[in-house]
Amino acid sequence: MKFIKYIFLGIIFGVIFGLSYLGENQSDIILLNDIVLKLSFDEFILCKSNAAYYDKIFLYLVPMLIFQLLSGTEIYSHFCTGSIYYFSRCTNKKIWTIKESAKVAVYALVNTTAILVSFILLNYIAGKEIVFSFGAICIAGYYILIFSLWNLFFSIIINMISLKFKSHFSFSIAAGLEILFSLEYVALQDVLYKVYDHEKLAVTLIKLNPFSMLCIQWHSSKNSRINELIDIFDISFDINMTIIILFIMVSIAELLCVGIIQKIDLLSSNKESEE
Amino acid sequence: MRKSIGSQIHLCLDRNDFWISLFLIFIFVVVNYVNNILKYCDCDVSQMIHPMKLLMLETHNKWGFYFMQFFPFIIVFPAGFSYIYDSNRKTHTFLIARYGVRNYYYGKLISTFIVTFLAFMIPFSLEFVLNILTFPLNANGDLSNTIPFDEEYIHMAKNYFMYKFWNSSPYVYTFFCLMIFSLIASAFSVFLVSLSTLGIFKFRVLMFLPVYILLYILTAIGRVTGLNFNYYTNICLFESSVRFEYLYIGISLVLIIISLFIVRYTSSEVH
Repeated sequence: MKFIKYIFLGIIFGVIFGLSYLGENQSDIILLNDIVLKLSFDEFILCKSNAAYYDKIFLYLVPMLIFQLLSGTEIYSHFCTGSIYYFSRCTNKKIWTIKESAKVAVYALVNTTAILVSFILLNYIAGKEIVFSFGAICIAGYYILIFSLWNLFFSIIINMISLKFKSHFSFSIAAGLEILFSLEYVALQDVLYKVYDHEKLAVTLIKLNPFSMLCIQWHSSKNSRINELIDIFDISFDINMTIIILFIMVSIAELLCVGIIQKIDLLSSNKESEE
Repeated sequence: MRKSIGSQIHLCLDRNDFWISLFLIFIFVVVNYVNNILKYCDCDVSQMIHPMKLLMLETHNKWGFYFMQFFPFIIVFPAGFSYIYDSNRKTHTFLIARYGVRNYYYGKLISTFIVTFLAFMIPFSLEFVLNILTFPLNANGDLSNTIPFDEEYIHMAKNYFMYKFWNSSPYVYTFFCLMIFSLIASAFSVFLVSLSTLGIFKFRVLMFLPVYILLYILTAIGRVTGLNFNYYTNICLFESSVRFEYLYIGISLVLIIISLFIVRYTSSEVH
């Protein structure tokens, strides 16, 4: 089955992160919320000169980019060779598109879960004891949801743009956008470190940046058991709102994709080999 | 062989990819240059920084930092897709019939090397020349704000890559380091083109993977062992902490040798 490829990818990255965490951590007890927050960019600190911390973002951003690279050709591959023969059996292209996107959604979920689970299993096998709590399990659920929705959104966008331009162009746009959003924290470091004093400009800039949706530690929650583990800035950045925004973004991308696939011309035979 | 190289360089320059990547690097270079002019407009010569330390590729430069984040993607663009374009349009049968199999494949590697080298070297040399013309050559300051003959500065400068060369002639040293940077980038793209001749890349987007994975594995190994193998502190100029430039130069030589072996296999009659 195809999702074995994505499970394997998640296991490789989970093992790499787990090994580096084992090397750094000396104690025998590990909290689950520490693990989840580390996987969601908590090592990146907003201070006055934070360019030195940027490689923490790079290290944890790469699994997502590689997943998007591989899954960005799932829907597009059906238009590459012999598309007329394939689509002659397909009665309703709208439902076909939604089914294929659902498959990509399952791959994204499986991949993110595999990273988390292999990280935890590696530390468990090495003899450490892992402490679960209600807040930590909720945060783990939020992590899986947010990261799979983000990956799904960009996969649909890459598939959609590759139908019009070639696949290398669409991936460079998507990856370029993600890297640009993350570079904003370094570019505006003189303004953003004032967020600890709740200055208005800094707070709005952080909330507007799409990349902040991935940093769970900066969010806040109404449930007090979850809120004591996150919310380091004490700004009201509701985590449920982030999930709703991501759902809306995914549905808009899906509608656009359905619209484009309806209008595509199947007679041009091989999109990937055109100049 | 020379005609094969010449015609393949011509083919590469005719496409849009080379010019787009050249334009992108130019944007970074020009923005950095204009920024430097506006910042050091009224500065006195005695407090002015040495013109070679204002280049974009200097390790602590802001625009150089942004440029290095996009570096794994910019390597692929100038000439990385040349074999895929040829085999899609079937021009490779025409060129093989004209020049011979070996001349075509080895010429492709050499032309990729030359085109990527040019795509990186032209903007950097432009900035090098512009810096020499605009900024005063007798300025001797350093970006860490130390007095030139301070003990701390001398101790820091002794850790530069090939310190004696920097001491004897700073401008030739800088040009030499820029050339090494472009050579490392070209070695990566030669390796990519040789991998694409094996026919394993069904989609063009998978060409981005090998370089990105290689640089990521080096960074991850460095993190596990505690050393610093980041690609953006190791190949940029004027870094005074512990560096491993010879690691990157060694890796690029090994990649060139591997790509020669791969092309020898694909161009043989058995394949």
